[in-house]
Amino acid sequence: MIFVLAPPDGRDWVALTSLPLPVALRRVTRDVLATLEWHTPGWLAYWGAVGLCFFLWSLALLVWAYQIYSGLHITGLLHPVMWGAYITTFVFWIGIAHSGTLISAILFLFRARWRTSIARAAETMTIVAIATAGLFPILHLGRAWRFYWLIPYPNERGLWVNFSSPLIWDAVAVGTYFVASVLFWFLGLIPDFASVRDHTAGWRGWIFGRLAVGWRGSAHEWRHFRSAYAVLAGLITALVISVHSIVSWDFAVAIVPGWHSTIFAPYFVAGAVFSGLAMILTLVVPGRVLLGIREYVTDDHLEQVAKLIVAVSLIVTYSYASELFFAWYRGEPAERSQFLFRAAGAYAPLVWLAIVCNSIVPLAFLRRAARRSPAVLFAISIAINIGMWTERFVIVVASLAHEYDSYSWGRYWPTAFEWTVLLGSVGWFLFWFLLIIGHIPSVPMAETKEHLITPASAEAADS
Amino acid sequence: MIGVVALFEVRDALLDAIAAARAQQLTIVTAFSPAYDPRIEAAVGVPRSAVSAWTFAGGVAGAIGGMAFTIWTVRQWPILILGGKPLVALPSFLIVAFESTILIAVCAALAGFFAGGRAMRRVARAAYEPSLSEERFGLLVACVSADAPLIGELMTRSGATAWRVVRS
Repeated sequence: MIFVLAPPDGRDWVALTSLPLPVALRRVTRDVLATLEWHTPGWLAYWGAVGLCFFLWSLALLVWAYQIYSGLHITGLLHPVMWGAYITTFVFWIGIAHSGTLISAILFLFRARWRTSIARAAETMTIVAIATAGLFPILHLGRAWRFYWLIPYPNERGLWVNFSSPLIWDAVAVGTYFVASVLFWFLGLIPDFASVRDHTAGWRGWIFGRLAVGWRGSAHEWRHFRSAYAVLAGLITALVISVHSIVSWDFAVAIVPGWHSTIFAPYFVAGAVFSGLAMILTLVVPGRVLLGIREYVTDDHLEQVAKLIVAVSLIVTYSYASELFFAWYRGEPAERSQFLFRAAGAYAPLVWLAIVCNSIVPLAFLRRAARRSPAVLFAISIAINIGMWTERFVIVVASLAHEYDSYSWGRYWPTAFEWTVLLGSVGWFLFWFLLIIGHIPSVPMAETKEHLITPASAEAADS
Repeated sequence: MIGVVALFEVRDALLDAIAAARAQQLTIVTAFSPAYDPRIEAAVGVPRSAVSAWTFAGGVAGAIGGMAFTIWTVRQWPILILGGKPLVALPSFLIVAFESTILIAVCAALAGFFAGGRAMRRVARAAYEPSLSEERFGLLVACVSADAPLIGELMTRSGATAWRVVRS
């Protein structure tokens, strides 16, 4: 392996530093620009994957058209469960969006250098995941063409905007998160856009020239850039915690057994980070091969993500245990009944599947060999993705299906139409992710060069 | 402005050149690098960025604006029946105000970034060349035409691989 970038144990760069600095810097530019030229070994697989994803979301689009034509009765939604797979999937994708910010913003603030290699993929994942999540409240509306009624503003339609409703908080928080994430992503890309502008010709050079907004890399510009990046990282860290807390309050402020809990905000934030980290592995393990950036996204970096997953998995497991404990200790019959229903009722297989996938399977990462095996990393990340969707399904559906009065208990299972839309959302997410990440510098060039110019040891000496 | 831009293969040569230019009491306009480097920033003596001030102003505007927006909006329906609950419910409005604080602060930070670098981007344009975003470092020193060869020689002695006169 030629490049061993930013080993996470704090050692200096190994092989790349053995090259003269100008040569090493040129290699970074050349390697990253090569991912835009489609000479990488995986280009056929890349476009095949893009095509498959297009097919999947096209199917979902057809289902949605049919749903608009015939109504929401094609879903399994029926009293008492009026929130089903669509809301579950909304929460799932919002959760996925969280790790991009964790890796980009929080790890940046903590000076974790290993974040560099996967930060671009994580940020892109965040934006696409929010865009995917945003579709689901609209899908769930039925009359999708009135989606703008969700947006809180004074209007002449006789609609009173209820700012005390968590649904309005949701619209504000998710909208803010999307805008802030896009701006943060764009800011980090500006120096790399300039690099592409300077070393490509034709339409690509022209487009990236516009996107680089006149960047020249002067010390003054770097100063403003660094200040803005750090400020945005701090703001987005606060934002990301608020967004999933607010999503959790969609449930927690209702007096539904299984929802009405003060632990929901940190529980949801931990779950969101957990699922997002897993999705990072799902994307990056095959993505680094497809894009030919395996030398930049090394096994060391993936191992760091795996370690984080174990830590967050333990927090999620603690949250599960706390929920159970409170249900028993509180002594509230409906709450106890809800958790007994979860453990042994109609949705019990899903509950246990979620516990296995989220609490037991990630413990495999306690073994170093598992953390360094791409196949194991990928398999476990898929298991966690499934487990987290299942967990959200149980929270949303099982609670509504088994409220206070036994006469109003019911069951809900998604129909084939809803499964198709869920599958289509995966296609939609991957389609845009692949298209975007394949057409921008997929590794942050300027930040990679920064680590080469100022190795970790020099930075430590400076500080 | 007339100046000399010198190109360097390594960062340390650039730092030497900056020190030499300072010793000769030359006016350093700016330095160029393919990545952020705090040592270059310190050597050039870049003034403090105003991005934080922009962000703070944006945050304050967002907080006030968010709270005002929610209160003003709900008061468009002053006779709404709320079952005894307050029309202006400050605890829940705080959530919206928090989000708008972040939103406007983020936008202001980006605006501060663009505004702060605008003047230098114009000046740096004439001195810029593509290798500065790839592997080279650069130094732009202001001078009068007659001094350019002397400054060029000083840069070469400090390790510059090339230099040229620029006018902007």
